[in-house]
Amino acid sequence: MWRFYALVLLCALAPLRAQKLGGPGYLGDNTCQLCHPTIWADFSRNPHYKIIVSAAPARQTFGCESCHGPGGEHPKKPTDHSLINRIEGRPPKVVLDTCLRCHAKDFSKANIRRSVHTTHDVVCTNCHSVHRAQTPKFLLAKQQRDLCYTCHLETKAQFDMPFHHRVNEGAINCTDCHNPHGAFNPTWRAGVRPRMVTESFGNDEACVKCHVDIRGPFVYEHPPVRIEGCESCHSPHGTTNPRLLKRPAVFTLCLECHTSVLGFGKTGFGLQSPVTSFHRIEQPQFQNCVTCHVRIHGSNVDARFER
Amino acid sequence: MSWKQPHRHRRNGRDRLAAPRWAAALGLCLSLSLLFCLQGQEMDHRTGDYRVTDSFEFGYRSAFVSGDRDMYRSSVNYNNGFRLFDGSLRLTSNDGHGLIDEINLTTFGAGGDPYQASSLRVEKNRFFRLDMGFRIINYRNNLLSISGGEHGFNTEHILENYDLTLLPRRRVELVLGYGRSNQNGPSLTSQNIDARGEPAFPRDRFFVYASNLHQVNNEWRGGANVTLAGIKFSFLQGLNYYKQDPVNSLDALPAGGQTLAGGLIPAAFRRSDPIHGSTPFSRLNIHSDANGWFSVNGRFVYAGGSNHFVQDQNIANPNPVTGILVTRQDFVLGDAKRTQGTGDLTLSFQPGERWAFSNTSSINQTRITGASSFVEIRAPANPLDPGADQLFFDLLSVRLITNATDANFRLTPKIGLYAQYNYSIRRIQSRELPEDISGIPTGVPLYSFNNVENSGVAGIRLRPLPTLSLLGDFEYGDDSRPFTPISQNRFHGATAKGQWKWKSWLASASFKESHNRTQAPFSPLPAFELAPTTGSDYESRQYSANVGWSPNKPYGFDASYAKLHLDTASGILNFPVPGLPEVSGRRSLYLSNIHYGRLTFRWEIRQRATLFVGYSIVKDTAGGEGQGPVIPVVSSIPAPLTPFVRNYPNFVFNGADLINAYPLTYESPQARLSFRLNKRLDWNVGWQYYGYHEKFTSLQNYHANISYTSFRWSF
Repeated sequence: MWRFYALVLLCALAPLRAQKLGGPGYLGDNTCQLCHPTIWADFSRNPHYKIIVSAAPARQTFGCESCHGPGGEHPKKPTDHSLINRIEGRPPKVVLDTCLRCHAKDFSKANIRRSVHTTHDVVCTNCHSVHRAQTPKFLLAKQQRDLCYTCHLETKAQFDMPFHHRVNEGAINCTDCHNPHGAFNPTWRAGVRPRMVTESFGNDEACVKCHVDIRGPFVYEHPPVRIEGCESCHSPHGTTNPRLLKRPAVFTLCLECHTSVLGFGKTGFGLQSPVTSFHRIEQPQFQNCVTCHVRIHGSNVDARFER
Repeated sequence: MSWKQPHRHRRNGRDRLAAPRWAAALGLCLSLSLLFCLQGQEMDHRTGDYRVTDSFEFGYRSAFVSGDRDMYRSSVNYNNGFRLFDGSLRLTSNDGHGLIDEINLTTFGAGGDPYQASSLRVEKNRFFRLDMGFRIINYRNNLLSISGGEHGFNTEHILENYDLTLLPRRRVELVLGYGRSNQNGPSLTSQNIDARGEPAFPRDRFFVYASNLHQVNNEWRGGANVTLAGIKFSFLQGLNYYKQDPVNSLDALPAGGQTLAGGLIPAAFRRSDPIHGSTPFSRLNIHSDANGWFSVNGRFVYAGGSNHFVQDQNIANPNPVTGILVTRQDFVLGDAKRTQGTGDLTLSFQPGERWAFSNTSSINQTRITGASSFVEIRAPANPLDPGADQLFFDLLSVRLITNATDANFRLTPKIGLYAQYNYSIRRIQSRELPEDISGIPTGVPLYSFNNVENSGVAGIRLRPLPTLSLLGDFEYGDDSRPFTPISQNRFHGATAKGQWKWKSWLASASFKESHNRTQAPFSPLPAFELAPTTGSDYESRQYSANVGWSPNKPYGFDASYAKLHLDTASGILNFPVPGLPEVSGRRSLYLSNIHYGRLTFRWEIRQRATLFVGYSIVKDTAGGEGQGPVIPVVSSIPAPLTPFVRNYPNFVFNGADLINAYPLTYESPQARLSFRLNKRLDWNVGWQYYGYHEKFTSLQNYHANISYTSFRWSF
């Protein structure tokens, strides 16, 4: 394991270059507020206000100019945006670099350089509004769900389905399951395309953060839960089917896999099919497999998940 | 155990969740209104060294429900009563010299709504930051998906989270955290034991009942974030402790607890099956972002979980032939363990504004082991099976190695290209070996399953106008050996998105298509194979569009439309009735065509009133199939299938394929009118309708009218 740490340290130290701010050309906040009184009047409610009023490290103590850069030339030609880092309208990489000067240290942003949002040119100011935020926490430009729905239109539709996680009701946020700043590779499915899904502290799928009874471990795991993830059977945003299942009738869901076709499953002998005279599938009690296979996510006492 | 059922009155065939006491509510609200009007404070004002912003909305909500009330409670669940609809309080320091620089409280639904959430942040810059969150989610848990809902019970889930950061934004930050999840609610379980031919406990009639899980999960966390020479070290150590303690007896089961029609109800039954477990975890992250041109992130996570369990079950039932009471006392005890280690290393390189590269390598190893020993005491002894202690052992191990490489190239400020290549190799090992009590395995080998997946994405970003952005990409992938018949095998997908933003106008549209075809890796098929196809075919297409206009005042509207199309075809054995080759040899299709629309409109009338109206509809047309309850008239329909089709008209046998489709409509219009009584007080009145209508059966349809009146007060 020491090799892993050594490699990380070596790579981290190699490009080390301290970021410097300040010096000639800086005017200070008192000058800024002369021409931007409304922004200044509201700024005391902004979390960034702390970089002015508190004894932050030297590179963060320049108030407005911490983000906007030295403004010494800006008053001479206020309409020339090349003389000030106006943020808005700047190339995505510039925006990202500006914010990450302070925010890169957050663990939640460890994958921001490779996230799908960054790849698609969705950077900080697409979602956050530093001066006109609608939420004091995280300075979001809109309420979180509305912000996400702006681009994820089909997800908006899913959360209006009859069965859905209570995002529209406000009990759950998108960020309970997703990290918009990028996620680590998942530990389920093929381990790629993280789709910004967060993981629990123990690196399980985000679902078990709330659905703790499904986390296990179990003596008898239902392998797809662990190997392919909860989405094998569930559509987590919302569906027209009870229990967020992918199919309305339970047995049609189960029988898609349990066909006894060789080659599938952990043994390669196929996933056992209930083709027996016992399972009279035309009878209603056998159409809900989980009526009997009650602990379908995993059981400690029964290999068939019957108790 | 709490099996709360709502108090209700039935009037003219309608369920009313409680008398809404309109007069009392209105009177109280008007009284409060007069009281508030006498107060003379600003909405956003300075008090001493602090600036205070607040808003609270308090009122009464009532619900009139007709139809399947249980279905309503499992999906909407608003009921009658007073509640704090919404509240926010924010104090911010003017100069950052107080004991506390910020207090931020938000809450909604407190007091009566089935969904309640509150959050609080208290912060003193560079000294501490405390974040607290509290949520309650109440719903009716319909244990069986399609059963008329008669076996559901209330579920209450309480989630709490507390995070304390000491010395935030300093070189050394200390983090402490606590999380708690508490759930009271039903879960199905059964008495079933392998009675080996004992007629007192018939295998096909075993006792299935609803049990309260009563589970609690506590999580403690502690760690530090250290910045040293520009490198950020983040360490977190935690302990997750889980327990569930269900105790069940025949007398304590709630009405309706027996869930299997025709199932056995034993003469006596008692069971206790506690599970206690813990999951300690450690996480170390090392990050360096050197001025944006090169960044490194390394992470290592280790989690070792274990659950210890015992199941003590006593059951008695007379032998239907001899009349002799037969008893079984079962003990199952053991433990399950899972260790999981994950390492990631990400290197990102941005040599300029045009190029960006990233590579992530990960390895994950999960190993689950467990032992479950089974002991049974029988009276009278079964001569056919004298019984023996058994020890079952199971192993599941997954090793996953992945690598993802991204390249991003900005050709011009208006054109960007990106590509990604993913490679993963996975090994799954499994062993299931019954052992006798002496620990001698019966010779089941260790199975090993390996597969390799390659996939790639290529895409383009365009910004032809400052107001217009377009994006399109295509993905293709191949997995050498899918784990299940619905796993990814040969898949591809395409995405196209466009967004136009001009002043207060926003228009966007998107298209997503994904397709996967899975084939069994081995051939020829074995003789006992009944399905004609040996995999599945999945195709999904999603179209969506949205137009919104939201000037600050006085109007605004938003309109959305989406079509979510899904069809799957597989050789699933929907009707695996032995001796019916004409049925078992068919394909099975599942069709879903969901149309979704939403329209909202806001109008502020002379700064004295605001009207908001909205309408949303979800309609699954299912391609015109499944419009029961008409039994399909198909000459070739096999006779034994007829009772099934009669019970489930959403299944159609068209002579060639078995089609299952579930058309339904779910609509919800709403309106809200707010009157500004003065600059601190608004009076609101609102209404929302929920209509759920299945076309394949009418058993679960419901209609609900939810209305409310409230006052929003800013002091």
